[in-house]
Amino acid sequence: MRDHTTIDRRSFLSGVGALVVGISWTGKPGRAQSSAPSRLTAWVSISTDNRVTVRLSQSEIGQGITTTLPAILADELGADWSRVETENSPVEKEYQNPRIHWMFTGNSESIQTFSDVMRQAGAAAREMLIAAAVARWPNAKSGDCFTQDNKVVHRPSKRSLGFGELAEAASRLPLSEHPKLRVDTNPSLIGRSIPRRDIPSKTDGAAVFGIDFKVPGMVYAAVRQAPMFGGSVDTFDAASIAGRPGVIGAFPIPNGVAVVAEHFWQAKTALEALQVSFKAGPDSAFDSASIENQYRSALAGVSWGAIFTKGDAPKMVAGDREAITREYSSPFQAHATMEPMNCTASVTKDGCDIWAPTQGQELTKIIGGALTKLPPEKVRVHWTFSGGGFGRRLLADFVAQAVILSKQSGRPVKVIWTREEDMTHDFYRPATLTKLSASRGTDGRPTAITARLVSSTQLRPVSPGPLPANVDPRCTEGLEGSRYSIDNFRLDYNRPELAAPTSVLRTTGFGPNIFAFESFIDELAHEARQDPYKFRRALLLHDPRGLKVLDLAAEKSGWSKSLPKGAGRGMAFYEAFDTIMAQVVELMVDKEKSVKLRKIVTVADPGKIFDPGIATSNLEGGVVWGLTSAMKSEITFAKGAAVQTNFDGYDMVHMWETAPVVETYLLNGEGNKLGGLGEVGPTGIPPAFANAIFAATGERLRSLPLSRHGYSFAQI
Amino acid sequence: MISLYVNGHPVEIDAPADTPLLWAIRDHLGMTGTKFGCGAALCGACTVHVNGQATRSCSMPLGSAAGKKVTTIEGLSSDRSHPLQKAWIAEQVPQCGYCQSGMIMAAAALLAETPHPTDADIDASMTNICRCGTYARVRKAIHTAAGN
Repeated sequence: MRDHTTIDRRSFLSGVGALVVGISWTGKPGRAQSSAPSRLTAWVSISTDNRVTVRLSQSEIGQGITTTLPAILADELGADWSRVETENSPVEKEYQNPRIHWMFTGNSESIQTFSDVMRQAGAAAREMLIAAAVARWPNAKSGDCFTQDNKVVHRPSKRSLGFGELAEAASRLPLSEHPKLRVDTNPSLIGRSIPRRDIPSKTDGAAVFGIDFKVPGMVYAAVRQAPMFGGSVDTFDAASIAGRPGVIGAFPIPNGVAVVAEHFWQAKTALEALQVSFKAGPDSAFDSASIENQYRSALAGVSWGAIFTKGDAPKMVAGDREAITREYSSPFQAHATMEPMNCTASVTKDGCDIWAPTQGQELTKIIGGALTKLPPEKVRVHWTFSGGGFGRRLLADFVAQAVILSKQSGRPVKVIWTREEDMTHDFYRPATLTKLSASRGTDGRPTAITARLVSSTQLRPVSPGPLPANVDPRCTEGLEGSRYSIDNFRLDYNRPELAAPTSVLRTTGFGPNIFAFESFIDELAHEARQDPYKFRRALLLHDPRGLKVLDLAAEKSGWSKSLPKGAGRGMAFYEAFDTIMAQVVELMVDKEKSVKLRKIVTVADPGKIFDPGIATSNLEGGVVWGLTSAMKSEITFAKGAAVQTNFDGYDMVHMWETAPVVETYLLNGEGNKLGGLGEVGPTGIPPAFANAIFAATGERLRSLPLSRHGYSFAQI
Repeated sequence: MISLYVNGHPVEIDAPADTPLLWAIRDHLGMTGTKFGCGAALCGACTVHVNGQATRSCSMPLGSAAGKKVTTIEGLSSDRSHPLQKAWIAEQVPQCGYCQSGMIMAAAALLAETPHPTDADIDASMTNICRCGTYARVRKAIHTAAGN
């Protein structure tokens, strides 16, 4: 398990004075409190009227984290769930991800990393409450007490005291530094499906997303960023929009210009009328073909880093005249969150407040400080619900604009990007080009695999520290060995420098790498004239946990059942984000390459399931996300700019295109590590989909999206 | 000044007639349940009812709504009691939730016209985009609300 965070009492006290804006679940202001709640730990405070408030350090981007994390803490504490509320934490050291000492929401690791933190905090608060109760009860021993439903109960005498009565005294006791976790495992909240706390407010318009946040005196900004990457504004003529209704002014931003006005539509239309000229940068003259050349020469070149080595795969492959080599590629993709980038900031001489739909809490604070030159305690980051994240909101380019424009205009400013700005100024998932080679035994199974991966960076824009050349763990994950029994394996990686900005996107490196690897495994099975399921099974005989996942997927998908002509099933097995996965896609293809999905089965073993309902929702939705990625998503470049600008050019899967049957099965494999579930749902869909098309048609598709090969979803 | 009815109340909005209804609702009336997604009637996040018809408010000029009855997500019920809202909670539909106001308004227009829709009816009328991929639950919740 990961190291537990150490909660330092002094450091958490330093955070207490910071302004904390809680986003209540109802979207309405929280109830007035009779008195200030008593803070027991950095994460828990309890009011005299018996309400427990749990702090959240992770943002709600749709994954349900604002329900599961407090439930874990509440369970350990012995809290009454109906009296548990949440508030977002300030951006302070004690709320950082303890693995990398950085505050963010991503990498599928909110549960992996913070479930222990929540348990520790709940246990510490429980011990303090019990100690406070024992002090009130003559001759009582803490070992005879337990907590339940917001009460401390003395088992022998059946006396009890409410948390609210004890909180103030408990808060003055020393923090339990090494609390004992509950062993009376009859959890009331863990392992069952809890209604998500954020959902009711998402059915009546009350939920406050970043774009909805209001602050008194706020004005709106529309931005126009350079129409080519690396470009900048040459000149703009603020006088050209002077006197337009509501317009406060036109202001420069780092790679463009903004108009600030009383209403958004005034700002947007004034911006369209603004006379502005842009100049290209030294690297702006690129397009998809030049990037392809860059990747091709990288693949043929010699500058590589060995990322993973087991045995001597290169020697075996080089010495094998029967070795099989295949190339796979995946395209650039945009995040396309439903809520476009936006941010609200208010900069005064007393401080800088930032209200953002963000996954990048720490980076947001650093950017705010750097731009205002205010000390960290005067930069306050508040985050709202995010209308999708997928990694895009780890960045802070849109935050910087709001801060700059508030400084310049002297007003609180909300920046809203149009969809066109959002899609053409993304940090894209980089394209990949992968060459896989295998040497095989007489049974056709791989005895050695070499992988050469070309991909521009994913991690650098969101990394707290620098990255050495040809190292990028987010790019290479998924090709660093395999759960399959393959004795010799080697991954080499080359990271070209591109003028197009790239970063992490949901599924990170696992997405493109598992597409390549699981397509290749499927090809090896076909070459060996073996059933793809049985072929994989033979490579997993040493791995009972992996086998269980694979077998269940085969069983539930009806793998051995015959299919009508034109139909096919494809499978992918993989481990990603420490979760073991198998997915099967069943589809029908007609002569026009029109695809009708029939059934999709997902089996996930993350080691432990905290909330099966929320886990299933993530996986089910992830499957649909993966279908879009597999069939449709591709950003291309011309004249240094993205060609696709809205959902017409960069389309999403629609309801009628999805499979009529989507089944999800969860396994508690009790692994050593907890697995994440936020990104695995989409990960295996592209290879399972392509493998199913091969099964149905005999056409092997080695590049994404599948639409590139003439395939499309059947329309109604 | 443009006059219309929003959620049963007469309102007057001081904005140019070519302002999209979406931004008039969000900025001038301060009702933010209706979302901006694409500005081109492609995604449906901004769906409201105009005289009972599901309408993508990002692409309808305010002037075209003059005198008409507009219903937004806030006006669907005052207490989350609309059958679709109840079904949305029962089936735990939303993930990020950003598209769901528009999704629910599109579904409400469907049920008003077709109280017991088939899967084919749902496929034909639910054209909104959900990036989180909640479609299966949207479908289920519509059936639940319809008592199918």
